[in-house]
Amino acid sequence: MKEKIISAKNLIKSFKNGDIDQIIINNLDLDIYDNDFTIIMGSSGAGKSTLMYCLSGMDKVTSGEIIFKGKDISKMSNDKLAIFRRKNCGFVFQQIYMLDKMSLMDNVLTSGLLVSNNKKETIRKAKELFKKVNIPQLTYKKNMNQVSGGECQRAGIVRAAINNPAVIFADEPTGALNSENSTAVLDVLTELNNNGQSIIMVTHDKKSAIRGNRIIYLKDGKIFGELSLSKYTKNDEERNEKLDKFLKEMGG
Amino acid sequence: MKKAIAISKYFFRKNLKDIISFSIILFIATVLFSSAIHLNNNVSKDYDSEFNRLNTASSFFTIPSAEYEDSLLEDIRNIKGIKDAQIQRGVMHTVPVDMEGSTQEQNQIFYNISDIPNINKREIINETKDNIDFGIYLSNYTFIHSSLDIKDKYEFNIDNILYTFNIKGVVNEMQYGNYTSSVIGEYLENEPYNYLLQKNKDKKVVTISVIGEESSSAYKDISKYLSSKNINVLSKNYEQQAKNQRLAISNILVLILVVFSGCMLIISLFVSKFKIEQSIQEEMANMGTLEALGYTSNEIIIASIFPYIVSGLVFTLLGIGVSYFILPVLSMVIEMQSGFIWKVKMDLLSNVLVLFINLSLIILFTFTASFKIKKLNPINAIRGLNENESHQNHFEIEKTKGNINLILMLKNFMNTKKQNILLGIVLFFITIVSSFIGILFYNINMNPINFINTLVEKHPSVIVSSTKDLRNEIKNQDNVKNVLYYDENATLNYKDNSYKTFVAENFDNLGNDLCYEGSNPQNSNEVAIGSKIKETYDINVGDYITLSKNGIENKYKVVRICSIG
Repeated sequence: MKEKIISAKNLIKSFKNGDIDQIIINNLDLDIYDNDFTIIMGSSGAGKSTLMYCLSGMDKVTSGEIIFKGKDISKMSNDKLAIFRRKNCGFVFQQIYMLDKMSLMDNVLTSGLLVSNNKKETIRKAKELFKKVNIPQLTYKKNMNQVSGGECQRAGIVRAAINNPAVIFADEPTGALNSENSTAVLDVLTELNNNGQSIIMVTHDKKSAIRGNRIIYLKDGKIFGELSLSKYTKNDEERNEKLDKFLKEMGG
Repeated sequence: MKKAIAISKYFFRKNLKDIISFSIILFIATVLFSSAIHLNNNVSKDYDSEFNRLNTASSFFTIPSAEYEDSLLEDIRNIKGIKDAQIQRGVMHTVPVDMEGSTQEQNQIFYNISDIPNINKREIINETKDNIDFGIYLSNYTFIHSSLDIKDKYEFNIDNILYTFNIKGVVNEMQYGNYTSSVIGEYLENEPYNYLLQKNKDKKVVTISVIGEESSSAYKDISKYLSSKNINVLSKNYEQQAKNQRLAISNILVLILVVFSGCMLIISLFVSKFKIEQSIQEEMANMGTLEALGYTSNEIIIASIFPYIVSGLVFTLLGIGVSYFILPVLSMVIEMQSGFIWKVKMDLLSNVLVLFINLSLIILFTFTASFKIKKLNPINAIRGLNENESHQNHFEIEKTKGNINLILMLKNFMNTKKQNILLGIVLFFITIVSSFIGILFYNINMNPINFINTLVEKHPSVIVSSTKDLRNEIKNQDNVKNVLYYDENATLNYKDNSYKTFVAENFDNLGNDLCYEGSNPQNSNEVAIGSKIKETYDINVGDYITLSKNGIENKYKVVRICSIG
């Protein structure tokens, strides 16, 4: 039986647009399980990123409850949420958002040393992760402006993973990358998941979605459909067909 | 806190140029401000300390020796509030003195250096070890302003007698200091003193020095007493008045330094505040990233302002240190003007005060600038959405008439309101400071006569003291515009108090800009009075007052009020 890491109930997220309340997440229930590679898909404006950020505590819900690792994060203050996030969440953004005027390693340590007081151990871990994502020392000592998009994004994954978070939240991590770099980034995420890391990824891209073992399709702020897949293996035609059929049913 | 300081180096690198320019201005402002605080906290205190160390008289009166009797001293000692009184004998002369290239007639009292008083102690601060005859010890003020040196000759000619003394040393005393009391003391060895005395028996004077509980009331009581005895007081002064006048320059320096440094500091803080706010605006995505990573808003605020606080601390300490090199220069200025030797010393309290004020202001400004970080929603910040930003469309092109370039200019102006307000504030302060510097420079350096005329009556090109009436001879000379007979040594009594009186044949020729109400006396029964007398006795233009001298009284109509005395 898989362990539940996140349990969201009756989630509503709305924004004020003038006098009108625009509902983005519409009374949604969702459980996220340990070790899953959960994909959130949907058309543009479906509420994918909004849902993900609510689940991670980056954004506050309008109403509802989110229990994350036994803690109700829907009622936490901003500062408590920040402290909760540093230990339990890792983020990979589409635009990467590395701090400029800092090397890739320093960017990773900015996150790593927020949780750990052991600088030596954190550096060792970071180096190990850089090796795993195929970034050599010469590269991780450079600033983000001096490396390729793919290298930067892989460094973003290292930053997300450095503190062994409960969940890595990836928001369209390949959105700004070319095909080759996209594959490299997805390979890293897949490997992390194979080693036990829970991942929630927002994407509209089928090539990215195939990496997940659980696909959730959103429409009008609600879960429209859900698909379970086996763990990703390359060239698994059966998985591809299953996903194609699902997406067709969803209208995507 | 530790984690916040760890990421502060990121903010330091990001804002390096701004921090450097802020630090430079802070440094200069601190040098000025620290100098001002040291002056303010120490000059007056050290003045009092030196005054007391030399047991200086709280008031003193110089009268002709012929009018002195021992009973006077006894009576003065018995006046309420008087703790001690003593006399010192001397010779008073108006001496032509070479002061920085020009010869000026100055009232000097020559005392015997061997006559060691208990009140008004003095100390020799510079003395030659050579054996010099007929030695004189000059007051520090005379020595500084003259072009003379130790072992030079101090010469002057009075009534066809040339007096030549050899400068043996320099004396520090607090009784006179400078010409506040319109006379200064010089100190002769026994032989030259007796020589001077013998040649000027009619110039013998006695200086009565008094230690009282309250200098102003002792001064008034003794003035009243001497006036009641019809004694002609040649010179007098009291502690508080002398101190205010002598330290006037010091007070002005403090004011100038505080204003300058204050303007600079405020400008740099406002600019830095603006830069921080701009930086937050521009770096919103990075702020959002840090919040996403798990940094709290307080940690991000501390990280963003920490570089400013650290550089503020460093450059404040540097500025304080450098001010200790400026202070000796200011000390020289004070000494030149007041005759008071102020020794610069380490003042921990002033240092701490400057540090505290600087850091408090820096923390206040930078914290208020960074406070909007608290309102940032991480996800909106990452997306570059500013919920607090005004979305008003100023000067909508569709609806605004006029040239497109003008409309775009106006749009830009409205969209950068804060920037423009800041620019306005900075320009305002810079204009004040620049105007002040320009006017001060012009009036002190380029055309100082304006400055001098502001403080005193119109400065004559030549002053001649003479026992003969030379007006007609001088008037007929080439290049002489105006000749004025002017006596500033007279005194008259009003309500038992003796007051300095200026007598001139025609005050209109004086160009006296210090009088602000009424017109100059034209008739023999008219008088102008000082503002202090006006306030003390509530006298107005048009009132009649009775003035007396040596038992003779006359009624005068007050026709003018002046801002002196």
